Amino acid sequence: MSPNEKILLNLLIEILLIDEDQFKDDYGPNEIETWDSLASVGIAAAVEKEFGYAMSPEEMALMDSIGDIKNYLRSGGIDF
Amino acid sequence: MNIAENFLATAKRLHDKPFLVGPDDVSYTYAEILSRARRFASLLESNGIHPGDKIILTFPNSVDYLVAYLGSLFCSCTLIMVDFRSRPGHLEYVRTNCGAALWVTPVEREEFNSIPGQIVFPADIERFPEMNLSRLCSAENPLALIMYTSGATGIPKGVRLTHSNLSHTMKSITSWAQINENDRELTTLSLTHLFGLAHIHIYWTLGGTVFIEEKLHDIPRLLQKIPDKKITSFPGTPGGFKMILDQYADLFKKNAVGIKYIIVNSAPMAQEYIERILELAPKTRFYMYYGLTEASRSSYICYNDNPGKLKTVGRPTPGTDICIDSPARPLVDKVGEILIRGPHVTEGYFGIDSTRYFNKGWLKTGDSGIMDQDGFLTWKGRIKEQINVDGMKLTPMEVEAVLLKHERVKDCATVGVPDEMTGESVVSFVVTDSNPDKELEIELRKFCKNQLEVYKIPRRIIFIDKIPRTDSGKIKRISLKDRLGS
Repeated sequence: MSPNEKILLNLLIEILLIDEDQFKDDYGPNEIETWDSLASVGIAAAVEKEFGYAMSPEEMALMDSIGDIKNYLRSGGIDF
Repeated sequence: MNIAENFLATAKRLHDKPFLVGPDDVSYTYAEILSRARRFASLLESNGIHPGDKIILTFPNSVDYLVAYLGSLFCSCTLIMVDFRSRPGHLEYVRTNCGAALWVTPVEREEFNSIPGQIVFPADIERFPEMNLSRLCSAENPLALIMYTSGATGIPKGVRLTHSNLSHTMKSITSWAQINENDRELTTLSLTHLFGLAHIHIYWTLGGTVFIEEKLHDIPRLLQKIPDKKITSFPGTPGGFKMILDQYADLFKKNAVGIKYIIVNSAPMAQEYIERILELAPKTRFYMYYGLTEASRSSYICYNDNPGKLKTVGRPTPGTDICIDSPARPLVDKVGEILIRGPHVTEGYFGIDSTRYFNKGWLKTGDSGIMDQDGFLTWKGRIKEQINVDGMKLTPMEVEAVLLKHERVKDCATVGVPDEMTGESVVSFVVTDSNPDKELEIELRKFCKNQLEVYKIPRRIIFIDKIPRTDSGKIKRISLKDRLGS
């Protein structure tokens, strides 16, 4: 696991209360019961704080999976 | 009527029987307590006290306190009890609010000296003459007590309780708990609150014996008292029993064998602890009741007889009616405000127009609850304490009950705080003896996630040294919200 993946994992553990084995690219709101719209706002704020890459809540709402978050961060030049 | 008349009748019948045994193990018969209380009545009279005057008693649990209590009732006074640990400001508020003529305390305390009307209970009470028996309880004063509510959410209000209210409460408990003159109670409850005090009324009416402790302290010694003193009754609070079961379950199991009944009240008890008491003391009748100072002992349950209803506080006590939300259209299986009527219900608050607290003779408790199809009530919490997360409602107690099951949580409290997205969000305060780090916060939130709906999971957990509580043990949620600046 890359350092940035580790940061994202810790961030999602804190907000979504997931276990490490749920940190899968194809896991999203359907698989993670705590991932609701409110959690999306929290993820957006935490991503900006940790990676310095702003994500609006609207953009976050379009994220359907952990893989989508990674891809979004990659598009901002953050390595995974 | 005057509830102290019951004592007089018992003292006549069982004068040489022990009534009170103090924390120092000194025993007093009914006759001895009668003598001391008559002397205290004379002391009051010598201080210009008349029937109907209001007297504040601020004592720790002690024999002297109950002597002063009885002596004041003998003079047909109205009593106001103030917790001995209260600050001078509270005592002064109560004194001026109710217009008390005197306040009685066991020792002089410098910080209280500026409050007028102090009487220190005399160490040599024997120097006062015994008031003539024919004069005891001879004047008519229906108002027995003014009990000031905790003020957890605002300014304390004085609940007016008549002798008739207290008598109905006493008869109710006696009937369902099947207490009799052979019972011997060990009490650690604060006797300035109605829970403990009502038991004293019962025991002096039936002729039982009460072993008084100042508080729940040195639990092994207390538990040893049960077999040593042949205790048959051990009332307590959920917090007290949690402490006993967490630390001394084996000793409790060994020594509780002779206990006829346990009564718990004051706060909700986690089902896990109810089950443990039933398991550890299977032959002991285990009662829980629900009530407020305004309507004490409104429902009760014996858990031994109702193993499928452990989450409830039982059915209405004899003579009590309880309904949810509306007397005309009471809710069943739906949450609403608990309404109560009955002969034990207060007529209102002292010095306040109380009409808004009643609905056609029913007390609006401010508590939310559910009545099931079988007539069992489940208490859900204070309506004003409800947390509204984006339209979904929960009570702090739901979260607290889960957190308290976690082995690293020693105490906790939950509040709703303003949230721009959801209106309110859930924040819990936790006391732990473990390292209060981020890892523990996540562990506790995950623990909640496994047992609660998502919107009930605390958004934040804040570790603190102590949960602020009122003298009667209620959580001061406003104080916790203030910490968050909300």
